[in-house]
Amino acid sequence: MYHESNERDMSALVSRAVLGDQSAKGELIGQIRPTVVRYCRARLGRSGGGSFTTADDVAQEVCMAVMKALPRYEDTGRPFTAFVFGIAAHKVADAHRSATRNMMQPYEDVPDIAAPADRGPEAQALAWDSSQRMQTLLSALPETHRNVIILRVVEGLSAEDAGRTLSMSAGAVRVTQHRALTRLRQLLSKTAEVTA
Amino acid sequence: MTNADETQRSMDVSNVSAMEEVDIDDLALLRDDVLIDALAKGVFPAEYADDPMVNALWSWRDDIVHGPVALSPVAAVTTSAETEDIHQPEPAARPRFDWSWLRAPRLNLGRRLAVSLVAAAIGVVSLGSVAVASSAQPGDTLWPLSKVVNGKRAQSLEAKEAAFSRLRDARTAAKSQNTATARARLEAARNEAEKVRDKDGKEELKQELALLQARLDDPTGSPSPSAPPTRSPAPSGSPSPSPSGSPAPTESPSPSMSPTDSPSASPPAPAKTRRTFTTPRERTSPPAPAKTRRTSTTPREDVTTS
Repeated sequence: MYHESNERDMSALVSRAVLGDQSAKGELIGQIRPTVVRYCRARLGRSGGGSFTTADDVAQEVCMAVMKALPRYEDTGRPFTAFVFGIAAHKVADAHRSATRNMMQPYEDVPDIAAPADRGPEAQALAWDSSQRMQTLLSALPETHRNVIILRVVEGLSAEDAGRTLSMSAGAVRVTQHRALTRLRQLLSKTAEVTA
Repeated sequence: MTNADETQRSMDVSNVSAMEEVDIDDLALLRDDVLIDALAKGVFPAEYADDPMVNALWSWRDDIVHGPVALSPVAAVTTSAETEDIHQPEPAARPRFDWSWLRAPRLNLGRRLAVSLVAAAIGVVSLGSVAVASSAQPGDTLWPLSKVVNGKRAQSLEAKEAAFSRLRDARTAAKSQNTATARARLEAARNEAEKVRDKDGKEELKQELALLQARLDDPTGSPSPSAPPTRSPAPSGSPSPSPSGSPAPTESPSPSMSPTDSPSASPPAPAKTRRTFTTPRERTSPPAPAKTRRTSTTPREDVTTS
């Protein structure tokens, strides 16, 4: 996803934004926002009433925090996305902490959420269930394994780009993702045995 | 995938395996790498159609990238172009000023008039309260407000009150020949008097203090404290204890007499005696008759007559 040319463009854009160029800031936030939204959704799932509301709210906070921290950003050779993911990781951790203080009461009626036109409610429920199951399994993985899966599968980064973002080698990324998938298979088979 | 890519992957993995001295199934590792590359591009490899983990991973990814998840991975196995909806930057919304408040339903004329009248009434009452409070005296209802509106004035008036209170105590002590207490009270009154502003009657207060001080210093031949003139708050036109008209000691106020001490011998005191404690007319009353009284009365007699 982030090829060298893209990275150069991003670096130039960041340099202009750091100097206070408003149009560069707007363009930069437009480029990083989808990445941040995906990351927050991958980390937080459909928490907060079955939608991505919480994750999208956190993504918004991340974008604001990135813009606020921009004047302090220094190009140390790592991709700018590493800087963004660092901020996002902190915001997600904050969201997890605040979720433990959530005083919401469960409500017996399921809220109405519009199903996509191309599938019915039952299919929608099955799909959500599958997604939620994977979200639960991912939460059982070590932090590094989870981040590698998110950056590789959801963000679409190559092993090299993911390695630069996480300060790892490409080979280490590949080994980590292999271990993560192996662990996911084991967890899933255990879950299936329990439910069987 | 090109042969060069595969070679690079193998080298990377071999290096990591060598460093970590872990037995890793290279083939399985490369297979997972290829799988993840395909998933990242939005392509579901058909050979994993029966793999529950890959199906769940695909649903999870699709849920995140597209919001609602796709039911069948196969149905979604197309090109990566369909997965680019939130990969692409969204066009930045042009900030626009919100003019909607201009189109909001407005109050009708009657309500607007009523609101204006209420606002005006509140304003008048507030300003009136402040104006009245600025001239309030200690003990008045608006005195607390006056303390807020004009703190220096309030402080001065309160000090004046305290000074006169100490002065009364000093006179009482002097009457009972308790000179030490009288001096202490007088000193306290003097301290309070220092806090009084000139415009609030500081000079008059000092004169009172000086009179009592002189009396304490020279109890026998001192100038007669003959009812400190400011203690005769006779309103203009009311009978004043004029020495010329009534030289008899019984008719004139005793030296230590205060309005509250012998109300029968002095004209009726107004309600706010302390605030009208001194008047210019009384301050300028001739001291000569007092001398006459001093010759015929002693402090001891003052006590008895009072």
